[in-house]
Amino acid sequence: MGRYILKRILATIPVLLCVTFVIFTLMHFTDGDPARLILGDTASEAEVLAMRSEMGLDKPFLEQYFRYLGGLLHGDLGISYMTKMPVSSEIMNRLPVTARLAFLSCLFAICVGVPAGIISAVRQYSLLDNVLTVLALLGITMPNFWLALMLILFFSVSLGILPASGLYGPLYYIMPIISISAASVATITRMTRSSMLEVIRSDYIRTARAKGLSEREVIFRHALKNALIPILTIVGIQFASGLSGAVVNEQVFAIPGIGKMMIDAIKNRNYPLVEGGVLVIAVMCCLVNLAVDLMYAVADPRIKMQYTKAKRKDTQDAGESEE
Amino acid sequence: MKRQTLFGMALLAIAAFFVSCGGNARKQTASSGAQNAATSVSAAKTNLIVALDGEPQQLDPYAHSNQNGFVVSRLVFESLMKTDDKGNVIPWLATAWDMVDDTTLQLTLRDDVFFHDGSKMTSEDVAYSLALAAKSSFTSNLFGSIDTDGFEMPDATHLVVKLKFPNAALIPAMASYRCAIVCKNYYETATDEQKSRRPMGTGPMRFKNWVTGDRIELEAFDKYWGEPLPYKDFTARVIIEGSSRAIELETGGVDIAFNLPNTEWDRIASNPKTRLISGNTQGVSFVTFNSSIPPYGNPDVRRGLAYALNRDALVQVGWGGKADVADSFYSPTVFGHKSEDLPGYDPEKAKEYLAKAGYNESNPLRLVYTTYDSTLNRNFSEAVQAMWTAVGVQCEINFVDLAMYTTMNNAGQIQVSLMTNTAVINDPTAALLAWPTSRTISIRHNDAKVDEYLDAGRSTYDQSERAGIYGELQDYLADKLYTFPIAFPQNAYGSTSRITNLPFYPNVVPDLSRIKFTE
Amino acid sequence: MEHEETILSVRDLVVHYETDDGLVRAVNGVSFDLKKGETLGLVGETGAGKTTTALGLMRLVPDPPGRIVSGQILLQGRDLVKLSEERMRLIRGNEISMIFQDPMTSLNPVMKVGDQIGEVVRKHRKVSRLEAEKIAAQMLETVGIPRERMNDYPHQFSGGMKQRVVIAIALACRPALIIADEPTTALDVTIQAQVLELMRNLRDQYRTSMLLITHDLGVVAEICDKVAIMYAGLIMESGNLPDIYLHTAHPYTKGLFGSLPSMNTREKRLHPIHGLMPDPTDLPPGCPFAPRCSHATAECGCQLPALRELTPGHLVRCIHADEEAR
Repeated sequence: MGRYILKRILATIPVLLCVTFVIFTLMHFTDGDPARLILGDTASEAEVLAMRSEMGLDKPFLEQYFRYLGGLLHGDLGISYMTKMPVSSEIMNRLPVTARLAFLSCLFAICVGVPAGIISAVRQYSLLDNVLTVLALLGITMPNFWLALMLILFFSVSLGILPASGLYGPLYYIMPIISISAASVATITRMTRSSMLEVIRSDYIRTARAKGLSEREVIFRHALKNALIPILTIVGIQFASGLSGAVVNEQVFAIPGIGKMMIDAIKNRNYPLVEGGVLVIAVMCCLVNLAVDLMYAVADPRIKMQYTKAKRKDTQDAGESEE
Repeated sequence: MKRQTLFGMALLAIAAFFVSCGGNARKQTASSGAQNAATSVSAAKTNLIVALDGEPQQLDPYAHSNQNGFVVSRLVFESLMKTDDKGNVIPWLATAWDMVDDTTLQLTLRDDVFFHDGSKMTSEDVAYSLALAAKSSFTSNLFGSIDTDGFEMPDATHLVVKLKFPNAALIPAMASYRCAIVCKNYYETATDEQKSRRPMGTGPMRFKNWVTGDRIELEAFDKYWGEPLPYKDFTARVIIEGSSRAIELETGGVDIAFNLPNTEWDRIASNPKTRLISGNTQGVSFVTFNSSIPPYGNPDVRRGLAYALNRDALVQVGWGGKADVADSFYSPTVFGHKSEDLPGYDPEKAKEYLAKAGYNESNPLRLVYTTYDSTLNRNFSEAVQAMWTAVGVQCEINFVDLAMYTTMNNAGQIQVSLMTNTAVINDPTAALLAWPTSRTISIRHNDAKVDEYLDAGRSTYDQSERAGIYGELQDYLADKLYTFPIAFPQNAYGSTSRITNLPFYPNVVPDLSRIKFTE
Repeated sequence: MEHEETILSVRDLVVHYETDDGLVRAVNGVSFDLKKGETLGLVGETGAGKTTTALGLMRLVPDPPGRIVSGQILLQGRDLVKLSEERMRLIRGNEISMIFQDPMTSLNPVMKVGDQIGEVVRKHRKVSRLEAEKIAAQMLETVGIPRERMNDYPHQFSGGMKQRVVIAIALACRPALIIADEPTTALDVTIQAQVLELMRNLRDQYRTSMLLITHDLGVVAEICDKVAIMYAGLIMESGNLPDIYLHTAHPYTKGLFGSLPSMNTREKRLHPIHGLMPDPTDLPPGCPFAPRCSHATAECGCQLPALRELTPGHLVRCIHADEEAR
């Protein structure tokens, strides 16, 4: 298993290299001059050219790229054009907030979605199932932005029990998490429901019932463990989309996260910040995917065998020839 | 069938709940403001909290032009002079000034001013700051007349400034927030990051903390030379979403909220716990024609396109009625404004002028209108497109993002667009920044006469003579119509009712050191 | 073989499914008895109602849409139809076990096989975890799997070995009755023989009664004491091996035997029974086999024939059976 993890980590390096190259190319060949954007309309052409030279933008593209890579190897992500702060500080100031929100939203989505899905599946076609289905549909289709504003209007302005914006304490997290996770809760509920329904029709569930196990034992000991495996896939994806879902919500709830930072960086053609931000997000997603793959191995022994391969094959062959 | 009707009913019920919830919430007043204040970052008695509509990228006064940045740095840095409520220049860091001749200015400085690091302000710091101001591309249009090699510092409190050419706008510039006195020592030793993120000046508040993306905190400077402010702590929160900003004001989460979207004005004004502070800015929005791209060099084409526009309607559509129809090329709040007789709404005349230039139904004018995405631009461009189409022009709208727009604009690639120019200081040179022939933006009139007028207006120190020159310039521009002024936009910020002495500042960077609290 | 008491007595079992397409009459009055240690083979084509009968015995018919409409299932004196679900759970896996058809999917893929055996032991016996493990290991050995493989997962076993595990689970609590629903159909022929041999040995060892559902007459001959032929939810003929194999009475049974290819004579074509089993939502009046029967008369379509005893123990549901019996 350890070798598998090592292999996976090494495999991410070419992925990340590709990412840096694609982003670097995209940024540099998009119209829009960062020097002009910093100096504004009132600066003359000469001043703009001088600034470009200062920023190293007048060098050939490949030279700029390799300089950037060289910096990366030293852990230097460059300096933000707008704030003059090191890109790594800028990102580390904002990333933890977004990551924390994405993680908590993911957790919330699982804690709400999985039980809801189980109830829906076990009581298929009941009133409760229908209600949960409708809520799930709403969660997926409601525009995120609108939901966020509605929550604020209801809880902050009407009821006055929750603060409208910012992230200064536990109470402040409630509405953003609900807003970010709405679609995830819905998706996880539906996935759990359909996965459970499928699993419940399996033969081994019939075997379990034939053993005389109670319905609860059948659901939790046999069905759930199998049903959760496809949901792991979703969880990985939901975390990544939670990162991006944070962008809109950061705007509405005035949260100092990485989403707004990236949007502004792109608008301002703040090359180092965009490149650094994308790289960090790529690393995070790779790690989350690796974690999900590892969880598969824990949950499903068939997959664990695939990862560790060779070892088990001889035992299986021996089993074929019966005594 | 039964299951489906149940579904449908459930959906309707939930939709109804949300709709009614939204409607009710809007009508209620923020009676729970006091409760909220306890849970959010408190608006305590000695704490002033404001909400900005965007995060400043940096606070180095000579390295940016961001309005939000100056709202904060105005408390950290001070200028040589200030203006009082009536617009007169009053002494501040400089106790006296004397224009000895057209190109020599003598300054007498205060003796008791300290920087936040404890060092004393001397004429060396002032000279250093003025040199920075002259060289920085962000302020060179205001201070560029200063000869950076010509300073004389007879002693710590006296400074002689030499100008390269006469500039009547210099004193107003020195009395504006754009003139910031910085510490020479600090600037010579600090990194770029420190200069931009840890500003250090002479003002009543000193920099405390900057939580990126969230807020900037200042605290009172105990060695400040002047009157202490009524608040000991200052927080500028970044709340980009306009409705969120207004809600925070209503719930008491912030004391002042800047740049309120015009949809919120009525609500803030009618709420007894808040005040709406609005007025005309020092800005003007105008349609630009690129004279270097045919046929916009043809005055008949420009005039024809101008007659096609219904500016009253445009003011409603673009600014929600929160603007006045422009009657000249800069705002009446700026010195020397003269009302002009600009083309009204006359589609027939529009067609006439266009026909004179050879454009009619069989040969329509193909116009490309380029702009960047914003609420104003979206509404405005649709409206002008409709108006021009009505007189037979084929108008295509090209939306690009702001960075592309800036590049295209300065490369002279834009045919027609909408620009807004807000004067930073109350002086015609600042209000007419778009006009020198040296500017690269997509007006490119190449008219040397305009430069003549601008130079003449700048070099004369006599006020009535200046007014005359600028009046003639406005007549000239009204005749040429290189650009067509549309509106004088208004702006509004809101405060809670405990704040007083906060008037509307036409340059939209209020001096927050003047406000008072009611008890 | 000494047979003693009657373990199972099924009386007029009727099971229907209420679906959107109509009422499916899957089982329409099935009766049989099973003594201790006896093996009854339930034979029939696909759709005859064999599996539903088996599920009915375990009260595992999916409800909705299925329902036991009427009938009695007397297991050692108690009527299973009338028991509460909780009581029934005490019986499943304990007094009656079931072995299902497809071993590839009958085991939980994410649970160790040892645990799956141990689970049924701990459910029905008050033993500690370690005790259960010991019993599970023993059971594995009994079905011919080395006990070191206790902690392996189902996917690490071949089909035949999986079925052995299923058998181990079924026998772990020494049930009085085992229902095996086509236990070897999904296995290849050589493994079939081995698994059958195992089942026979264990049955003899534990003196378990067995209801073996199959469509394979060869398997029946190997392992069963009695046979019942099912068609359209009804038993058409039942008796012991000589009765059915040598003194075949019902036309349907004859057709079944006739469709088997012969080892001795050379034939160019197989002889299947013409026609298809009737639609269970739309059963014809009278004898359900009449439409396909070459000996059918008008009388056959009027009224459902009752089961009558040709010779002691040999029952036939056919009014013309006498004439054909040899």
